[in-house]
Amino acid sequence: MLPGLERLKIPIPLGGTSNHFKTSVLRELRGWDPFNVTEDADLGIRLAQKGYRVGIVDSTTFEEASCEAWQWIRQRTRWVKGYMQTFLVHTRRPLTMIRTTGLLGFTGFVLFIGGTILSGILNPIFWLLYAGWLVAIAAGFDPLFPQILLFLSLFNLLAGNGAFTYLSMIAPIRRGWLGLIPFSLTVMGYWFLLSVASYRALGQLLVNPFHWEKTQHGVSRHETPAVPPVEVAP
Amino acid sequence: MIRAVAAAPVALVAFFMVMVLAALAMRVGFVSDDAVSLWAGAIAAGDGEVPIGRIIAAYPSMPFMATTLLEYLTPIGTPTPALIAASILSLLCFLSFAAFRNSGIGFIVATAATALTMLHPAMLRAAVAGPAEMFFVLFLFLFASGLYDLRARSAAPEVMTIGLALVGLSFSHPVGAALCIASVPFLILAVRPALAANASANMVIALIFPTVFCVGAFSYVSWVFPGSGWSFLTAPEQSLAAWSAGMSRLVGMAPTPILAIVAAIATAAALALGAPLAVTTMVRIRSRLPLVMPPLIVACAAVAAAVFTVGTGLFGDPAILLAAAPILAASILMRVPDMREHRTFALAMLALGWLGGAVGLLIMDPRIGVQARDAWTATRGDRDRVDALELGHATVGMAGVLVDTFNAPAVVLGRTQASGLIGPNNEAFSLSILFGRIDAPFVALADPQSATGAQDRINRAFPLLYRRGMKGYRLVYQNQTWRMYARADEPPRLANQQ
Repeated sequence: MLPGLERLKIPIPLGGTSNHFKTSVLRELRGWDPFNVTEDADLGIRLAQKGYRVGIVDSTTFEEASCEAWQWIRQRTRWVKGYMQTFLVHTRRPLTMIRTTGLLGFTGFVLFIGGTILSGILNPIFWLLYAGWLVAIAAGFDPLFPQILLFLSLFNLLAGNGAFTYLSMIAPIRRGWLGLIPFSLTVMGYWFLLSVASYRALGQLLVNPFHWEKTQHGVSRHETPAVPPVEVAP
Repeated sequence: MIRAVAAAPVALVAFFMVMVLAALAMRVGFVSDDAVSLWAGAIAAGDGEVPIGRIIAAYPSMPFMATTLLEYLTPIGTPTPALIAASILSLLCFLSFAAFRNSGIGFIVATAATALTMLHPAMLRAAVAGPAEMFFVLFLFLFASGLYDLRARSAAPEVMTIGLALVGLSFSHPVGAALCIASVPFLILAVRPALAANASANMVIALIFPTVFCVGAFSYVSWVFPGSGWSFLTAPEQSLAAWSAGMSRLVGMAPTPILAIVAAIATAAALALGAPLAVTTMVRIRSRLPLVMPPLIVACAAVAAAVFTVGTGLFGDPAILLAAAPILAASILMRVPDMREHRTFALAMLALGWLGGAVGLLIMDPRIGVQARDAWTATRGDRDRVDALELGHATVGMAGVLVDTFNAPAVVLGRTQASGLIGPNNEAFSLSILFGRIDAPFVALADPQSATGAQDRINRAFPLLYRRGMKGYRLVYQNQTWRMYARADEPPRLANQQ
């Protein structure tokens, strides 16, 4: 996804490990926002606003993924809360953002950051509506929802879930990790957990915005084979 | 791109040849029932006579959607199915010519090879049969060429290409769906052995997931919008029955379960006759599995699909599977490097395959010989179909003609538009049948003694109407199969056609 954002010149919300900066640029930006719990994402947007380009290095950094549901929810709660903070900060003056990042950059920012937040929040509401519609067999919903909305929703339901599952299925092939392919079929569970994290994030944003929920590491028993040493040319 | 443009002469010849052959086939009434139903449905949908839910749930989806869209965009009377089929064949000419040139084959040999494979009798039959057959051929082409890349690399783009090809096959033609199912056991042979050894089942999941998901989504849509979503389970029965009758005459046996085995043998023989280049090349390079496996998978899947189609009776006429022959030949010429050094041999085999394809066509579709002879002597073939076309033509300018267009879709084709006809899609039609009362300005029905008339819903509800007419209505048109009555207050504009 990141190479795609780079190619479209959309601000890249930095994240995770393996970010490399020029210290002069960091100083010019006056460092990072210590109150934002995804300060790296915020930094990526500010870099783009200052006219700097974030490049993607085609390399691999192995890190431990959150492999327990509660740990995963805590980590995603922090990420979504940070995205909310970043979104609120940078959309205070939307015209300035359009001027500094361009219309495409602004749109990409709203869809990528705002869309991530909104999808997590709206997902359970839509599923509940859908369950209600299934039970009622459309009888009570027809006057409320015009047919065009039914077609759009149907497209989103099928194309969205199908594409997301398939992308999760295809991604491990690039690495040759074919054993992960069947797990892509559980992607609906991912949506559910993300919604739990999104509502926790919303709650924390209101009552405890700067709390940093630390991710507990050293949980996974999986060991990645050591990266082969670099061969020096004779 | 520039290389592909050089194929323009062959592509233009293909385009015009298909348009002429399709027009001839339509004029003498030799278009398949499935193609006529699809075109009539698309005309009705393009005229806004079909609810959008039924358009979305129509099967085979791709040709129906394409024909409906073109019907909507083009003037009334445009032969949209022929236009789509000819365009796809021209596109295939460009694609194969470019692939031949990219594989190092010279201009003249590439032009000749394009003509011999893309104007192969099986291709021309598919093009004349209609857009469903040509969408099937297009995705079979993608499938056959994608298998080479899958066997070579098995990376994400190659997996996605095969996934797309299988989805396209399933939604372009019922036999495509059969081919898709039949190919699943062979797919593992298409994956790079190093990967297949680790997680073979997982790779197959990734290859078939798009198709399985799309079939599930389509079933769901069919449930949400009650319509024709499940029609593929019943509609092709007629075409399969016609094929079975022809094949039974050829092999001298009644349609039995053994006919599925006969179909497999006929398909294998027809493929070998239609693509001798594939047979000789695979034998010669049999030890080079990366080059042998892809065409072998296509051939095995086609034979298995024939068994599946005839054995289950769910997927229609298997004769379209012969289109795999020129595609196999073309893919081998594109991908097997030895072919560049044996150009004369390759061209000779392609020419032999063209002649063998004509013989293979007689084996796979025994009816075609009779049809071709009748077309040559300008004999009218399907009497009921031709009469329905004439009735449709006679209704031009009339509004409110009650007629069973589901049973006789050729009426819509003859009229060239559906608006003005009151068919089973229309609530007025259902009410007339339900309450046994007709007040439409016109009512048309077929002779109950004819094959069409025996299935006519109006005949069933009004058994005496064809013979005796009805009070307040007068006969305004008739041909050998059809009669049309007009309400007494309608002006007698068709009196001269009685």
